Amino acid sequence: MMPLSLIPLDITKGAEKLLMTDPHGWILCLVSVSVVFSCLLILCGIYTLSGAIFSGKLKFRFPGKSRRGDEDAAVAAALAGALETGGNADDAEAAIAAALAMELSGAGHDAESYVITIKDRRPSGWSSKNFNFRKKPKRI
Amino acid sequence: MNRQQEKVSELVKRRSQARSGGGEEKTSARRTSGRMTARERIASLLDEGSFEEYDCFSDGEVVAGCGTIDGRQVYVYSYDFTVHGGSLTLGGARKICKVMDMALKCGAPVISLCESGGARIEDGVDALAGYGEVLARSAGCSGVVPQICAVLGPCAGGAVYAAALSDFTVMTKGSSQLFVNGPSVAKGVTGEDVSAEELGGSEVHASKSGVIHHVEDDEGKALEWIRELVGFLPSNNMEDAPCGGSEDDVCRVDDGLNSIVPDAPGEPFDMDGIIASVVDGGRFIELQESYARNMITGLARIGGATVGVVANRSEVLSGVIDSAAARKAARFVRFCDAFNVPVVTFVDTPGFLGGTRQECSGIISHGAKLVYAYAEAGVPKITITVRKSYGGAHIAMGSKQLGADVNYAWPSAEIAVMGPAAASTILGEGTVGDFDAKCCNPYAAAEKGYVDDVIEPRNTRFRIARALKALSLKRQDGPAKRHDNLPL
Repeated sequence: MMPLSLIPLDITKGAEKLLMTDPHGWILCLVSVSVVFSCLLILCGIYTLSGAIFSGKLKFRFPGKSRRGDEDAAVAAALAGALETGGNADDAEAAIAAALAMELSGAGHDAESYVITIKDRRPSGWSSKNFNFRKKPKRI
Repeated sequence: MNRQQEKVSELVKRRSQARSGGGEEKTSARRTSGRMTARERIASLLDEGSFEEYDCFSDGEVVAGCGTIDGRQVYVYSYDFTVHGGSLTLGGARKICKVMDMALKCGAPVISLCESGGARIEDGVDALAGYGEVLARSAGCSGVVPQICAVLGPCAGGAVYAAALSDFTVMTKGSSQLFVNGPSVAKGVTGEDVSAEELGGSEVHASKSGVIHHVEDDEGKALEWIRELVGFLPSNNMEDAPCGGSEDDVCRVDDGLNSIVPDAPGEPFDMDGIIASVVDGGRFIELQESYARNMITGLARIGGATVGVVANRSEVLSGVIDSAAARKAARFVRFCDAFNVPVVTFVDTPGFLGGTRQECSGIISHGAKLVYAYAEAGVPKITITVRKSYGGAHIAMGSKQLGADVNYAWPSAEIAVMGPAAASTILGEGTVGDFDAKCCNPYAAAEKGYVDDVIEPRNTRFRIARALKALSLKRQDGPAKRHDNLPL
């Protein structure tokens, strides 16, 4: 590769300049490969992000709109406020109804006991692995 | 709300509907009358939070699933009387069959809580087929996993056979009945006008037919009794019963036993007291306590290990063995043999009861059942002759020749072909004294090896506990056979 200081001053075209500085094309190759991989990385990031958004793992929060947890807090606050004031019955009832509607519309969960009461059993003849063996065919 | 959340909401709603049974009105009516719903019974029976229901979205007349009692897995099904009177359809029957199949796979007891009007008439032959499948499963489970049935309300038709095929059945006093056909059918067929309680109430089956094993005052106590009973039983026929850790020392002696047998030979004494003295903590679960009261059968623990106890009660019919007593003891010994429970027998019987009534009722066959049961049993058998042991009853009540492993006798034991009084009528007057001295003591049998040792009564508990330890690894084989042919 010819150093820049030895490049004749009358060369104006960029291609000719490039040919002079990088006759074998190493720089060009490096740059082009870098560009391609950079684009691939950016594309990968875009797909990952859009996948996360559409699957619901990543949610955008718009300013002014509360989260589910904040809704629970709002429900509790509404219920507490409605019960405390008690002044205007209509307002209290409306607040309670709204709070309950918000809570219930979020859908309850299937109830489970979340307790395993089965104790470990001592090994016995019942669970002997012999009983799981397949019988071998007998010669007739 | 997104679609997945809607589906969860639908699941919650459907489950709530499925669990409502026959509806809020019928459920409230049951609670008002002091009865529990099917799910409440199961919740009361099992450990809290342990019940997992299967097939709750299918036919609702049966609630079935698995849970635990004191941490031990059991399979349970309960009829829901609020759904068409608990009458069974093919779908409900298949639900029962599913839990019984799983109990067989996992080697766990099956508990049924019965309150059913029988087959659903609208279902036709399908309902009968369903019952057939259930009863076939019950027969398959017999002797493999313990089956316990609680009759907690009126039970008729096919449902009664599940109770009869179970190993243990409990009823509630005054609120449960068990009959093949109800009073209206009985009136039409035989002309007798009886109430449901007179036809198949707890009193009938506890004291006359012998179909059931225990009666409790209410559902809660019946379910509590089942919980305690399960603690004495193994989960299947390849396991031992759980060892109940007891603080009762096996070396405990009871001086009162030395004087419990009265001097007069015909005077009755308290056999229940002997049993209570020997077992751990005096805790003895008597079975069929109102049926054939001249024979005692029940479960207890000695040294923490579950044992089956068979004894003659001299306070009733002088301890003589009649048809009912023989049948009661035979079935119990066979249950113990099926589930590896050692049998401890206390003997005080003057013999089998004769007379035309007994002969016509088949005392010979029933006595043969008792003989067969003891001879067939391969579990450790320990026999203690307390007082009288005459004739064929001596043989039948766990004699050495029927395979008893250890035979003890108290000094008050009288082992002979017959009592002195009866012998004098045959041998002649004046022979009573000689006969009494020669035969009516345990040493004649001990000299011949028919009794292994004569023991002091106060040491009975210790001797039994030691014998049980020695016999804990007993293994007994028999000739291969398809099945026996004992006189049923």
